[in-house]
Amino acid sequence: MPSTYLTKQQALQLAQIAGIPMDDQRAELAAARLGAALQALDQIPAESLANAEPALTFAPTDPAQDAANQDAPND
Amino acid sequence: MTNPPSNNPPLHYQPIAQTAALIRARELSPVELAQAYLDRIAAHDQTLGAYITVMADQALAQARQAETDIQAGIYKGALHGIPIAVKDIINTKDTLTSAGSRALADNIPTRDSTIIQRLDAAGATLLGKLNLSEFAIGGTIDHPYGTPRNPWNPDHTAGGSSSGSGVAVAGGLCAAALGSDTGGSIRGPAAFCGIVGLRPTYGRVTRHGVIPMSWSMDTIGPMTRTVADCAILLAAIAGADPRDPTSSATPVPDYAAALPREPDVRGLRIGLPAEMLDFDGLHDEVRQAVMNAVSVLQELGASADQVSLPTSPSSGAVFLTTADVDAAAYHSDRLKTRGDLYDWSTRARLESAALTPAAAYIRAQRARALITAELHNALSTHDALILPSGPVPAPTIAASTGRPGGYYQGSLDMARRRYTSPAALAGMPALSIPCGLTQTRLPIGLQIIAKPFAEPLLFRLAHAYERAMDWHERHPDM
Repeated sequence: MPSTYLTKQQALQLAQIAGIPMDDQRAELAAARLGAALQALDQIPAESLANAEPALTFAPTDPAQDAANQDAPND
Repeated sequence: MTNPPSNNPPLHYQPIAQTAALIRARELSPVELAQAYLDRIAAHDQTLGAYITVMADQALAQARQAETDIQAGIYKGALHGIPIAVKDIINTKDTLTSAGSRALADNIPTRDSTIIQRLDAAGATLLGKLNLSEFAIGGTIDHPYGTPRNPWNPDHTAGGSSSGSGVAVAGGLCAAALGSDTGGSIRGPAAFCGIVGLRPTYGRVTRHGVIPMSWSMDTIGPMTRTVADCAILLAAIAGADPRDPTSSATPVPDYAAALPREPDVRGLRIGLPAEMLDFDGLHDEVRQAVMNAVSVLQELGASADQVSLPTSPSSGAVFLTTADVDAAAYHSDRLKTRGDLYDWSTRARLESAALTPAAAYIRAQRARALITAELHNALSTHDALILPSGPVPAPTIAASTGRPGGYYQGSLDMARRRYTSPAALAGMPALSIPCGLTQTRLPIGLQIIAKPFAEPLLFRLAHAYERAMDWHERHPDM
């Protein structure tokens, strides 16, 4: 089923930008798959996400780097 | 047809704890044990497709060394002389590590992963490398090293991506196995194959030397026939690793101590997520089996009531927008130049992920934080959450191909992900144990989720349930 979120043509353009060779059949499939995921993401109510910051997977735990950051001027 | 429960199972189905006692007492030779599994592999693996590489010579050499050590009074513990197999994304020195892909058909690592080093230090015998969905991504259509088949019914899928691990353990082709779980790749095959599978807390087990799918969600965990075996194997591989910056320094507890001789779950509070148990797509027999298991735990002294995880129905999309984008980044160079080396389904999944808008990725990360908060909130009033490991029993292989409409691509894919994605996104441990068989004799899996590093609690609950029932003593008729 064609995606309402992403057309085959848009998928082809994105693939070209990303440097991924893609034929029409795979572009259609990519548009459908990605469209389905985007649609599902959009079903999360905006108000639920209003105060949610992105889950991050790093922690600034390097003491030397922390010290350097403290010495650095604000900009 | 299944074999009836038995307190004296054949050697290839004996729990590790039972076999280890025989080995320690020198009543069973590790060489005899390794040969028994090798014979079993020779007899059945052509049908089941569990192994990519059988390391017969090395396994027998390790078994002979174990026998020599034990006869000399050097006993290393419960895994000494026990034949283990590992998913073929775990690097093994001088042995093919294919990730189930044509793209790595010539990949011979020059170093062992930390996990292999730990198994070796524990005296385990490494039987071989196990089949999987390509690069642990799931949904492979054409497995280049053979299609893994469910030992309970070879027409049915074993799940993915740790399919070979599930098949080998359920079919008695190894004593236990290691799999990996990014978004359900241990729990799914464990449920479909009727075995125990643990996704440990993120960081509990080192990932050094393991081919990644998603850096922030990949975990390596045990797949076994009993909860006690799961505890034994986790104890051997858990713990900090200076070569994996994401591995946790949290001390490794004595997991065996979490398994009391008498089941005791009195006072434990169990939450039952409404979004999973009241879901329209949940198979009736699966729902009934899980609710029966909850009743058993209540009879043993636990309490249970409903909880809500409101964002969990979207967790599949959040998972895919996170993990698949990670995977697309990892595979970026090969996608651009040799996309033809991938399976059709893997390639389609990676290509669509590579086109994901940055704003969607960040939206997914915000939703990930929300889902994590909802799980922590539920676990602030409950000790554990219980839900099905997936919405349906194992589909047929024909119905589960990655083509549009198949199990791994169609609407059922999102449906199953709501069961396995939340714990993955939150980095929480989750255990799947068998809790029944359908009328067509396919296994059903029960999932237990707990707070980070609460593996002992998972073992306590699962062990109590396991002892009250006999599902772990039932095996495929083969």
